[in-house]
Amino acid sequence: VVTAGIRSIQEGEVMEVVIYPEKCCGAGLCVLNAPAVFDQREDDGIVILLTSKPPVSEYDNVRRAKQICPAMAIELKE
Amino acid sequence: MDDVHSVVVIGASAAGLSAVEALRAEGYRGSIRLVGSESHLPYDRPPLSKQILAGTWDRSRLELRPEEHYQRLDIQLALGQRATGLDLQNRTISLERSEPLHFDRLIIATGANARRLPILESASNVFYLRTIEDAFALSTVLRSARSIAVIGAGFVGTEVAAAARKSGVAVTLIDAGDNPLAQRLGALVGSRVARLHSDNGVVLRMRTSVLEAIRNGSNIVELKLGNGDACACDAVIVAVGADPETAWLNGSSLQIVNGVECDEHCRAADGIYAAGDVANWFHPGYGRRLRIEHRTNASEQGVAAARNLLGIPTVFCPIPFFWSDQYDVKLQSFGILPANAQVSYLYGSAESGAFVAGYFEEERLVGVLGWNAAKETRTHVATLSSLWTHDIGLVRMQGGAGEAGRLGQRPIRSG
Repeated sequence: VVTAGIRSIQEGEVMEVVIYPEKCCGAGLCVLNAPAVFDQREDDGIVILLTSKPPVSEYDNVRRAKQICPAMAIELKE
Repeated sequence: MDDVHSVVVIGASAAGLSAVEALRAEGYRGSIRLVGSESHLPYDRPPLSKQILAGTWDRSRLELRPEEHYQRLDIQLALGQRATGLDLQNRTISLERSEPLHFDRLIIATGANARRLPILESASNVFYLRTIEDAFALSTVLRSARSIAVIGAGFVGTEVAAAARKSGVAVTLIDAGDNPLAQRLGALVGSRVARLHSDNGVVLRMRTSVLEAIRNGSNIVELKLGNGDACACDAVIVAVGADPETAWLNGSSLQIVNGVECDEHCRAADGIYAAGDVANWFHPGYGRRLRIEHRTNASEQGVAAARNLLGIPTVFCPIPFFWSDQYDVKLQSFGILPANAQVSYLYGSAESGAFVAGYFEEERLVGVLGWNAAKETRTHVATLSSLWTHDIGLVRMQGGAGEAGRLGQRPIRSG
């Protein structure tokens, strides 16, 4: 489990993204950082997860999104 | 960083936590002490006026990290310990209930305290909202009171008013400004906020203040207002802003003016940094000093302070961000909303139920405020920093050199 910051990617690692829409404040910072993984609902801006198993090329973007989420609505299992 | 063996962080809330995590993430292996005056593990404050007052969350959900997390990162927690002084010469912090602490480098993250109203002191039915205890006490009041008076119509006051109305409590909202939130969001949006609250049954008493509190025993039963009105109430909630917690730094020779004065690297003095609500730093993008009492800023600035402490030069130049939930409205803001800004609609209007207001200084967009318009609001973010030469925020800090160059997915600094 990543606890803070950016960690180097290890071989064979599989990241799983978990979101908590009830915590989400709709800032959209995740979408700005990882548009291939996150989107927002049209009406209230709440997070939508496009894929829970993003490709390795998205890992840094997703970790950044997790770190800056103001409502801590993103969790990573890796 | 061979000369740094001990880092002390005073203040165990969002900014302090983010700082200690960033120290480890950047590879610092020396000792870290995280000192907090409250006895709880670091917890999140925005839900206090939202989910906690609404009664939808229990206490455990507020914890920012589980206890094992601190052990895993080898962080020594010192909770329930109030710092009482800083000796810059000898590099020590004095604590209320322990031996002084030595440090090689220090991060000040003591936050802010709810401002008190002297004329209401010692009454037993006056409540504030800053800490976890405050929130649960207030939550109990909202389940039993028939009517409350809320003094101060900033973010805390308006969110408390909204939560109280949802619980069926009668609310009188009192503020010296023209409209609720007008001091923070300007006249245009302020009048829309006023309508939102009066539509939801809040009695607004604007452009006035409390002259006298009528007591029955230890309880306040009525407030006399400057405009001649009287307001009967079962409880009074005071939400008249917060002051940075800097009293413990008096006499330290640090520059204390509306918080701890820092440069653009969050540096207050040699080896001393500040982050979060307590930090008054120079924002090079906006070319002015800012002190921001919002959640995202605390996290971001903690990272910046930690990096600078470790000798990784990091200009702190974020796009500030905040949100507020009131009734069925989600407010979100990026950038700054100066009192003298020109405000106009970038999307929708006050009549349309969803809008984005733009805040301009000399025709330059410096901030946006979205009203039930999350996605629209986000589309204006890149414009806010488009002229900044210091394009360094959290994203670039984390991603390293080169990240900022990827326009299209423009690096955004949360705030």
